[in-house]
Amino acid sequence: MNQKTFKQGGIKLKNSKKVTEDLPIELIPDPDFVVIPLSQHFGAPSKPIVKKGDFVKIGQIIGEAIGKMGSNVHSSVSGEVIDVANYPHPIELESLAIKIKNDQKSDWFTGQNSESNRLPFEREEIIKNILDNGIVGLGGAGFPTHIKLSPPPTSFVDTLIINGAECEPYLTADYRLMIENTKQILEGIRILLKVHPFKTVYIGIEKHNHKAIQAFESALPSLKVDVPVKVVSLKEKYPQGAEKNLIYAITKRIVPLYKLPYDIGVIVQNVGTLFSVYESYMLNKPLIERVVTVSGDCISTPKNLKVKIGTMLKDIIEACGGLTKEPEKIIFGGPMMGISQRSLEVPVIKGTSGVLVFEKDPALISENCIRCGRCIQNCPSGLMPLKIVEYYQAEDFESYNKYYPLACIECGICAYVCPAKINLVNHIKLAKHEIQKRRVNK
Amino acid sequence: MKLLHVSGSPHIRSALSTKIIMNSVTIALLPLVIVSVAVYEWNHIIPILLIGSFTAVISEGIFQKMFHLKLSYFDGSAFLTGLLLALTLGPRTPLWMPMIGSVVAIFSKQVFGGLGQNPFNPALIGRAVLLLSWPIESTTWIQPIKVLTTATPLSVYKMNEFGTVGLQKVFDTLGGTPSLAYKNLFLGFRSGSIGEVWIPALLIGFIFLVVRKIVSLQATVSFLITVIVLSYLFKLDILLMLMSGGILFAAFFMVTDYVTSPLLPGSQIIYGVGIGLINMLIRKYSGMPEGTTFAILIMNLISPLLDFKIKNPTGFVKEKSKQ
Repeated sequence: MNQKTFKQGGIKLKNSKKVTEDLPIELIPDPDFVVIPLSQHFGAPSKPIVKKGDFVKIGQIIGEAIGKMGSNVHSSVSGEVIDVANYPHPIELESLAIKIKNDQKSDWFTGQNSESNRLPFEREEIIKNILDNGIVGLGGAGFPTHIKLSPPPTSFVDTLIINGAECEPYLTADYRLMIENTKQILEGIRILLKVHPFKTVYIGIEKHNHKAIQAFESALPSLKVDVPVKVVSLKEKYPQGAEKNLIYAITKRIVPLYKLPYDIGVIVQNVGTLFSVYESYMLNKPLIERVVTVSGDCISTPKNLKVKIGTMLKDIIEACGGLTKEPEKIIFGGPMMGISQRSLEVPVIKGTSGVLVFEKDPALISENCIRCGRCIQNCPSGLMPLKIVEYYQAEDFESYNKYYPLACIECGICAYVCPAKINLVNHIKLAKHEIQKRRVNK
Repeated sequence: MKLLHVSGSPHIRSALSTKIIMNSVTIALLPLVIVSVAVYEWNHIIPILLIGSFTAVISEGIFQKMFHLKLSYFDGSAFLTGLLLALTLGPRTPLWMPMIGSVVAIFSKQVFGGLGQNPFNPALIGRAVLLLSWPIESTTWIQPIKVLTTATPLSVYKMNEFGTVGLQKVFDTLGGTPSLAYKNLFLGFRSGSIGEVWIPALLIGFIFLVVRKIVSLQATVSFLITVIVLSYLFKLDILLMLMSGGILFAAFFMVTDYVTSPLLPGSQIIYGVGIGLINMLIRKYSGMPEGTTFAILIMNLISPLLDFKIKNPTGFVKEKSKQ
């Protein structure tokens, strides 16, 4: 058994990737309107720097980073700003967003999207470029990449892991990117090696995606770098792509509780993020588009689409031939950790890896817990979800706080395996929220 | 367009449900039911089992209706409780006994808040009440096939102070030679409860549950090992101790109950050891020949305490004491 995997828990899910895994990434026709939220990343929402009536070009900065964790936001089309107001947001209910009417001229902002004079690989220059171009982690959380690449000087980071695990069912966006843009992703590694002197680079891919493993292995010799770059075949198991699990599977290092990967010398970057870093540095292209898998039993022709940030859900569905059946549930992201949507009037943001449209929602009624212990056995973080939920429901803060709810990675396995259909992870999220609220109030 | 459903993740769930788990255990008991109907008088066994299980379902329904609770009497758990209770009774038990036992069993579960909330195994509460209230009716045993009223091998052994004379008496009633006696014990040619009759059927049912990952092994194995070790220390006949009485039935179908056993594997091992210990102490030193029922009920009571430990999450680092 040379397939690597994480330490404990985890489950095998039906991966449902067959539908889209062999479909090349397609470009979606430019939408007539885009709504670009100013909150698409981990930190504070960006400050709008355009107003109604302004004309913007593709790649022009429209939202400026605020605070340490902030990130810039750019226009994904050229045209007129027709509104700066609150609009529906796929994660938050509403957020300040900029609505732009596309003039379909596809004019790029000066100096962007061109392969000019991009070679003096200086660390500061690269970091600034990544910040300027609004690159954030594309795995979902939207952590600003320039922050992740700037660990405190006291740390001893020696390992870079490229996350190509994509362990959520249905999603094939990263997989397609790895097959179609293998070279660019590898060039992204070269760029990151200039940012930080990593000693080893690993690319983690689940075993069933062997085509991506082969693509990297055959392209590797042409990437001439001084440090070893290894492709690692991972066991197909959920949640293999969770940062801490991936680190353990590949390096056998354990991230201590409440610590971050750089504390044990590792930085993890998603393959999509790496591709964006490549485009950002080599072409000076801001993060204005991403690959999204559109799948689910209501989609007439499932696809892997390259979508402009701010494209409305209804435009994406239209680009996939519309709906065959009336849906009951629409999810942004994967089925295990994705976020259900209220309407078709929501925009794709930087962290949207998939759009899944289902005819049926399980809509389960939870029964009494029978204490079978499956949530404990399968928890990849080694928690006792049922205890946290039991005490949370009894509003016994002192007790549930003792069961380490903050160590929960919210993978959803506890709720998935529960025979009584209790949504444990939902309660744990609320418990975490309560703990954080009390900390702030202290 | 219809309104879309909005809910927290995950948006997919496994097919496993409480009902499937309960029904799997019922299916695991089927070989036992079939064998017992075949070797005992079917006109006694079938009514006992049916009355036991359906009384449980009906009384659960009545209870839930009476107290305006969510109706869940059809989820298979009440049926299973009734069936388990009926299987612990003797093959000539009068029919009012499984009826009363099932009502008591369901009551003991519902007063604490229903499924998942009961501290005691309901079927065993039912059996304990019957055993203490009607000791004569509860301990009338017959041999299969021959339909002779006899004492159980265990009580024969015990009445002769567990000595070699007693062991010889047991062997005499079970075929003469030790090897024949053990074979008859294994294949059920001896008196006992309905559910104890044919050990291969018990094993088939248990293996089915283990293979389907419905039950875990820790408590069962530690219980049986404790029985073996203590039989050896008490200088008792190990095979006779294991195969007579309710030990195997309890080890496979009662000790593995989720609700009344601890959650963590380590605690489950302690739980099994505790049951084995109490069980053997009752067999050896008390006035009763058999003590599995009470051993499990006592450990049920302790079970939540065994889960005192908070599991350390991945990446847990022991805090260094401040100096």
